[in-house]
Amino acid sequence: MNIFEGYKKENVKFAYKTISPALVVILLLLGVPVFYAIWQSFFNVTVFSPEWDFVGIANYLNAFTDPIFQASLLRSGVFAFSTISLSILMGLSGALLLNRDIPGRGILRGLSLLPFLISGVAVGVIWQWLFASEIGVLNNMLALVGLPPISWLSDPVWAMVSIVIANVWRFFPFPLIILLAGLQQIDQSYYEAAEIDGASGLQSFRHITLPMIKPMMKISLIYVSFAAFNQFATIFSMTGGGPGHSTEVLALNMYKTAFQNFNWGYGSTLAIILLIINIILSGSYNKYFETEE
Amino acid sequence: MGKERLKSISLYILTLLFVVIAVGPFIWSLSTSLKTMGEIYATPPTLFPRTPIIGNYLDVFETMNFGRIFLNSVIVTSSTIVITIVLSLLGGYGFSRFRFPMRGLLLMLILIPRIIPSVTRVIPLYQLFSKIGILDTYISLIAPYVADATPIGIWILIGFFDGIPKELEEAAMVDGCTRFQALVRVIIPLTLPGVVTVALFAFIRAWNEFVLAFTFIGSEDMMTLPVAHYRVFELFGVRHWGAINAYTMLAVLPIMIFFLFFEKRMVKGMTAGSVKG
Repeated sequence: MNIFEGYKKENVKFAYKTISPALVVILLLLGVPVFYAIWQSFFNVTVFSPEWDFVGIANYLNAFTDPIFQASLLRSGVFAFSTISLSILMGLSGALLLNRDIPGRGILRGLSLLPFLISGVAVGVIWQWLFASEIGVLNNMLALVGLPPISWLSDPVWAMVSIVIANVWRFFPFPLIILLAGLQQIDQSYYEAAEIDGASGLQSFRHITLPMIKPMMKISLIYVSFAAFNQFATIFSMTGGGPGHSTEVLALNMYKTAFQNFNWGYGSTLAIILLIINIILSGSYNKYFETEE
Repeated sequence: MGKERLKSISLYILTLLFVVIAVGPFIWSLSTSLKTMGEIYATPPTLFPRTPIIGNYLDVFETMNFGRIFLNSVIVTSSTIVITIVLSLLGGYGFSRFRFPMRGLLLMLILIPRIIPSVTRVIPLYQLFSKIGILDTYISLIAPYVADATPIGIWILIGFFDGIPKELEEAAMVDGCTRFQALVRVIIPLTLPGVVTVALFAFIRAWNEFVLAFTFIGSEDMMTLPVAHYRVFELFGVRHWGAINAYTMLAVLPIMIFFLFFEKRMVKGMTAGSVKG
């Protein structure tokens, strides 16, 4: 069977010429590395013993009995869940506030998007300054209302709270902008009709607003989930995973395995596990929103 | 009536508070960057510097080769933008205009990279780049950044090409243009808004990317802005918050300037990656 049957040969040739540069780049820099990592995850290979020693799925089995990995997975879960829910909540509040006819609306909207534009390291450094223990502005504010200072980045629990705060600040503009676009598409007549029928503001919100912005909610959730689960830059620059291991999420654990312990095989295994989590996440969001619709 | 007014005023105040949360950290960083060491360490802190100084900015330029670092980021980012645009224009055109074997499959395949984050690629890319000897070069950053941005670029531009009638280029070809000339002279100018969106998307990605740059770049002369940003504490000293914040301001300034001029397109670019598919 000829798969080229029914196509104009000349056009097919030209089409392949136009798409092949992009395909080659994508294949070499995205496809090859992923397959290389999958392949390597079945071997025991480190910088110190570079000969590849086939171990089957031993690395994966190791991961699930490795307390460091389990702890980092749990931390990723806690970090991602808090970051996702808080940034969606904050983005939604901002979208509702900015979806009114108020003076300076365009400027206020533009300003509230700024945290999303800068690099993760910039976010990390800016917040390290806000969280600084003796002269930081947050502790000074606490002192102003008579509260004792918090060791934001040197206490294991507060360090987790701190990286969540910084990342919520970084990512809330995304749901804000997407949800605001959704709110603006809602026909005002729905609200007018609801008001005539005697619905309260809260009822209108539940039965009109929320269902209408569901697709935008899905987009926001997917984006922030990926950003949170794969977060590296802000956490690495703020705490480096510390104090101790208290903020060492999966991405940091993977990075340290490869670039501090130089264990390529096991590092690749962790990378693939992270990738699988991404695939499961994306699949389950799509499924959830499909069945809901 | 009075009640309505009160409600709208309090909501407005709430809106302003919300914006303060978003902008406050920037203002604080800017303010610190203009203070003397003595004022930075004074309690209670002052919101605005009593006598603004530019000494911290001078310290940045004296302590590190800031010009070189900035230039590295400019080179890497602009190359990423140009190559991404060329590849996405060609790819978007090919996918939009022609029907060919495996078209649907290839279109789906180029979407897969969206769920492969940089952190999962950093290990194999490091090993492969070290094998072919391109670690610590611009190429080692430009290549993966282009690969990151091109799939989304193609998808954005397919939409634009789809909206341009085929008759337009056919007419140009009747007038004696080759297909390629028709593409460059007639079709591509019409996709300009899409090209700008793709460019801004690639710009934000390349300008801000950290984990690959931090891992692949070893020498101080090749550092990009985020890599040096990570090292400010080591370079300026952990207590020199004035210089540290001055660096932050210098690093985020270009993005802010672009945002001022291209707000709408930039928002499109930022959200482009997620809305498709």
